[in-house]
Amino acid sequence: MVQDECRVQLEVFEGPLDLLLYLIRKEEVDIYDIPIERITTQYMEYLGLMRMLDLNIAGEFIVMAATLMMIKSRMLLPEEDRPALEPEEEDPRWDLVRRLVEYKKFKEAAEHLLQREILQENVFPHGGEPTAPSVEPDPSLALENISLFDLLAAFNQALKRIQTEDLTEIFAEQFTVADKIEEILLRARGGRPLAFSSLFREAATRHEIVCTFLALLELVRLRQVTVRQEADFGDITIWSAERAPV
Amino acid sequence: MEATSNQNLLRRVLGAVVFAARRPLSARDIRALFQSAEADGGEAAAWANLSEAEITAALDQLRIDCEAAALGVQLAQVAGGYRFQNDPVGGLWVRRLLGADRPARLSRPALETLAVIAYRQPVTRADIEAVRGVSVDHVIPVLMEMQLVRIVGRSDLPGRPMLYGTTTAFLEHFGLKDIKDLPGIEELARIELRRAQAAKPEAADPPDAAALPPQEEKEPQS
Repeated sequence: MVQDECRVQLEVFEGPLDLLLYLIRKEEVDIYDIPIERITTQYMEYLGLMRMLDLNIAGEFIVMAATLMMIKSRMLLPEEDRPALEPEEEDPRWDLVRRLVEYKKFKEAAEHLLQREILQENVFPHGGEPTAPSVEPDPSLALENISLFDLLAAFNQALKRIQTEDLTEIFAEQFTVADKIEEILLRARGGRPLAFSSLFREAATRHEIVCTFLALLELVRLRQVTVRQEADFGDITIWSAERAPV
Repeated sequence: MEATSNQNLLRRVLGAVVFAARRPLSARDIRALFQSAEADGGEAAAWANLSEAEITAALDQLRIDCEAAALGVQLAQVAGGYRFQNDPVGGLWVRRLLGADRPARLSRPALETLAVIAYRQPVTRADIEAVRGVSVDHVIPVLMEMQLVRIVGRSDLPGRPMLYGTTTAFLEHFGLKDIKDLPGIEELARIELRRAQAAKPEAADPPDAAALPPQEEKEPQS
């Protein structure tokens, strides 16, 4: 899908459990009673998006896809026909649910650490040198209150809007990620937030949308822009890095 | 009357000592300091009789006094000791004064990995990956380099994988008194370690052991 001039090496550090928790939250379903059919469909859709963008995703995503498929097929069997692997494991979803619940607790613990870290940014000890070790920006995307999957969801919306107009592709001019990087930087330069949707409003082809989105991810990775979402699943705004509110 | 003024004196001396120290001081450190003057005799020798509990109580009172006085300065308990630090309210201006940059924050994957290590230590890489469902190969070196995490020993599992735990710098970075200061540590440490648990039932058995600060080397299991 992505032509060579569009190629950007982007590493995804989120794992399949992150995606599943995201979908559970987005679909507002009960983690203890996951509608496996619906969640699997959505999971595959996001997996497809990440592959379309040529993102470097962990192999665990594929393993999880297989797990979901297996659970789905076991759920289709009448209860008495299900293979009795472990006697107490009646619900084929149980092992997955346990992992998700456990991971969710640690995500909450990580959130708490973040809050403490933010508080400590404003604390300087008396006497000693500042004790905080200097934080190396690690190679993951600098996303703060938004997940990669929120971005993918918005990207998916932009794609869906264009799907019916695919024919225009033949006449459209070709873009590169580099062009789009310049365009986004230029538009974000005023210091005013840029609406995510406005990036795609004039995009005429899937190719252009893909290039624009990859450009955005690259800029986030390079910490040239930050991306924010005010409400849960709300509108996404893009800020030029030096102007972003703290 | 006499007792009250003694308390008052102790508090003032403790404040002076902690203020002058260049690192967090524990009650034990301060007791050792007082005892070091015992041989000198005279007035200084009387201080050697103070117990750690008395010193801790006076430090706590001093902490409360400082807070009540809203001085813009706090006596905080960090990494097992007491230190003076500014009230976060003035942080913006202190940073400007010191010409310090706002430090970059840890990424989500780094924070999550750190959370698993902090709550479950000592843990292997496989333990962490079992929770996160994805490799932590890129995160651990970052955390090690920042000295938030260190190798605390080796597991008895096949291949003797390394065990990770948090450091004093971790406590300082997050302004924690000790590892038990983490909220919900009991609960999170207790959730059974899947997979890893099957291989080392004894290690996972006493849940409280996992919540303790890292040990130098794990006891060999029979």
